[in-house]
Amino acid sequence: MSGETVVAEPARKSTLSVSLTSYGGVPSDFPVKLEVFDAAFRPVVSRWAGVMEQVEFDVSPGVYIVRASVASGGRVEEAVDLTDGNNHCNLNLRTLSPHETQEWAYFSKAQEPPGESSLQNQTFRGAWIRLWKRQENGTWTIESFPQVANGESHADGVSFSVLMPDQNLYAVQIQGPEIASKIVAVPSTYSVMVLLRPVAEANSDLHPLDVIVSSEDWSMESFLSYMRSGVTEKADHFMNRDGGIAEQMLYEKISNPVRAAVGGYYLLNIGDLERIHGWAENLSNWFQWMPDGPIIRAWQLLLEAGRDPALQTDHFQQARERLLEATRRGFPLFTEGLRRLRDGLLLLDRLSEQHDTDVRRALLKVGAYTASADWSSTATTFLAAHPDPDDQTVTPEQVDQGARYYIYDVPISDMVAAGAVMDGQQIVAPGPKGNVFAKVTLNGLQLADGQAFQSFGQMQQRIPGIMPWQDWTIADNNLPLHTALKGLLITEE
Amino acid sequence: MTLVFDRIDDGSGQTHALVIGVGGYKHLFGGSDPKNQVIPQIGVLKQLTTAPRSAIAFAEFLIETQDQWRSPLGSVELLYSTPPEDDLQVPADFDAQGAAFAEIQEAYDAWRERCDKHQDNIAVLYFCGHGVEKEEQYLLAEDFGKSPGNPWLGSFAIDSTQLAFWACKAQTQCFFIDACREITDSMKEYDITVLPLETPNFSQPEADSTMIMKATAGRETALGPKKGVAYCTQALIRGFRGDAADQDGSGWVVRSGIISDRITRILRRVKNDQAFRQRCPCEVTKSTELLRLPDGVIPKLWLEVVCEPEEATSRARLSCTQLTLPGQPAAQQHTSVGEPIQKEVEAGTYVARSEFDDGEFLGAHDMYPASPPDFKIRLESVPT
Repeated sequence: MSGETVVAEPARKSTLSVSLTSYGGVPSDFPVKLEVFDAAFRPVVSRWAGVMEQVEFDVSPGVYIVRASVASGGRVEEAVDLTDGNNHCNLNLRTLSPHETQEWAYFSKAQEPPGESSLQNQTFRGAWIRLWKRQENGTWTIESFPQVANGESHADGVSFSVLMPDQNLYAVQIQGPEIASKIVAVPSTYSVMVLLRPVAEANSDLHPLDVIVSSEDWSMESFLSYMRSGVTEKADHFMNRDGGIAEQMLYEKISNPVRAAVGGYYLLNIGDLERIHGWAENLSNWFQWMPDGPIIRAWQLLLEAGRDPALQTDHFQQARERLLEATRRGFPLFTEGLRRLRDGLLLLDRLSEQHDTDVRRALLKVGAYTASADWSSTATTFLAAHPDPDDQTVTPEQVDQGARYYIYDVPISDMVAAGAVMDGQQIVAPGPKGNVFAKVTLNGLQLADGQAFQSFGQMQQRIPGIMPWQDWTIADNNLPLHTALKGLLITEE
Repeated sequence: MTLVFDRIDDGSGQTHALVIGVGGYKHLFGGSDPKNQVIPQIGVLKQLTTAPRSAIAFAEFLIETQDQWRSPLGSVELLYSTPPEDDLQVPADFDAQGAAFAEIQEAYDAWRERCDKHQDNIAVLYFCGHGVEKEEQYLLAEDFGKSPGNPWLGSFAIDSTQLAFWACKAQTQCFFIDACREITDSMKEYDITVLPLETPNFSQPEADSTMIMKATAGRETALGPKKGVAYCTQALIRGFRGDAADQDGSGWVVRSGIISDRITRILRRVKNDQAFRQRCPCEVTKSTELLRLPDGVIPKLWLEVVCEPEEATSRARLSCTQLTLPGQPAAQQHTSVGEPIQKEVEAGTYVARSEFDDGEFLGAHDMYPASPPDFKIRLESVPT
């Protein structure tokens, strides 16, 4: 990465050496914006760097503020005095994430810092996740999670990665006995990362579980976050370095249509229709599973019509067809697409004075997504019990029985029903004063002193100093508890 | 309606604002002419003391900062309505009543025409009051519910209005909507027809820089203190006053993208439990400078100095001094004994120090950058 921006030209030079420290949970080329200010926050010089880079700046002796910021909005700042012989500044990005395995999320996706809420809370007991796939005929089916890896479970978040089997429209659903169902689009790239974490503070207005889904394309994901947050100056720098990465993204549409869609949205936002060329049409036609292609093409047509009235009749009709097609394909991968889809249909609805019943119908359908959408998320996210409220092919019973995986704290009754543990088995939990023995019953765990718990997480929460339940064992076979949960818990899938 | 600020000059780029605060709803419960509403849950929408106060506060802020805008303030059109028996004290120049739909439409048309005079104009639309959402957000005017069989005659569709406004010549467009976005069960059953204030006209290219900020996520209610300014409006004004300012080398400037990026943090300073990521969704197509703080003015921030671990704070003498450049007057030292330092200070670099008279911990000192809207210094305190 390069592209240094010098704002002030210093007279005498000192070398300010800046190094970055992270957990190593993201690749070394993960983009970080480095900025140097004087003591009064006047900008001196800035550049983009990789998360493991050591960068040197030539500046005059003096006091400086050095800032490293990432796409999530997280930033680390230090003040350094070059006049006392110290010319090195280390910025510790580890402070942004509680764990190495969650670093990718705290670097790339906007969210509050970890708060007091814990997955051990009763709210999350029995919460689960499942995967949906949209079939060619437009119906949605429940799928098993393909190849879950790197699963790590903490009270402040559960993270894992998934190797997706194909390019299609997928979504994850999260729900629990005390948690409303949430649907999140999955970017259909080779490897997808997921972080499930409790929102920082309990708030009855909010869904209690944050669901962060990301590809491992950190350039693309960082750019999406800058675009969503409104900090378009950083999105601009990002997309225009190296000769114009936005256009390259569209070139790559064959191998990576998801990346191409992101590039297309950016070019729409800056109004650079010429650089879109005919790629939006190809993206729309070649990838029938993806709604984002026709959305981008529709907006290209609408904006072209705005610039040349002679094109209006033809372009409005084509845009209409594209937006209706996008609605038929499901919901877009990205929130940017959802906004464009809604706005495009609104425009057509108003232009037709609400007489176009197909557009009206599409608007109502999209309204089911937008009414509860999380507009701060880069991936399309909304509250619903099913990815398609109109899909009647899957019965509620089938939905109830379809494959699902617990997120963190599994009710003992469910574990007994699934055969993961058996009524009467002894569980050994290392505690501060020796092992604690708990007996499995049909409804929970029972200690010798009469204490009863509904789940391992509840027991861990109520007995101070006890080891995390993932380290407990089943007495009669010495099997680690987390192994017994294989197939039941998403991190043990 | 009232033009509470009029310095209109069509020949140069100016900022023109339309500010609407609907708190008195005549035909709803508690209104001056309540009617039995046909649609359930509509009639129980409450009168709002927050909305007119919020609109007036925003209008006053605009006038106070009239020459700080990238395009100086040219006009502020203000409409508001108050609930019956509200004891709102209104500035003399602001004695304007009336925010019925027809008045809003007339004011919008006039404001639109002013904004359309010059491409360097900045168009600002602010609304505070009731809102609901189905296919898009509908904002309710003072006479909403006048015809119980079709209450929507007293409302307008804001998202379509914003899309239509793109065709305005003003290349910078900001919509600030501090209203609820609830959808009621009864609304889902009705086929609602609500028109925008302007029909989309795609005969013009889109505006260069647009921003729409809403005070709530979908399906939620906007909140504010009774007889006070709504929380999101407070945060927005704080943002413009400096919490969303960045130094660009020539001074401190507020850009639309930075407001969008920081609004949640700023809201945390206003009311902590309202500060979650989805609280004020913003859509910004291109970040642009809106306002610049006056020369020499440095934005304030809330600075807190504590020890880490925090229990060491009760044993510490803390001090914090701003680093000054040669030629600048000496900065004030802030001190505290046994408690955190909590102060509103200017943005800049600070030297913070901890000392322990009982020797329980080693003292510490270091330099720290402190930028808006808030900053917490944690002095590492090592036990001896």
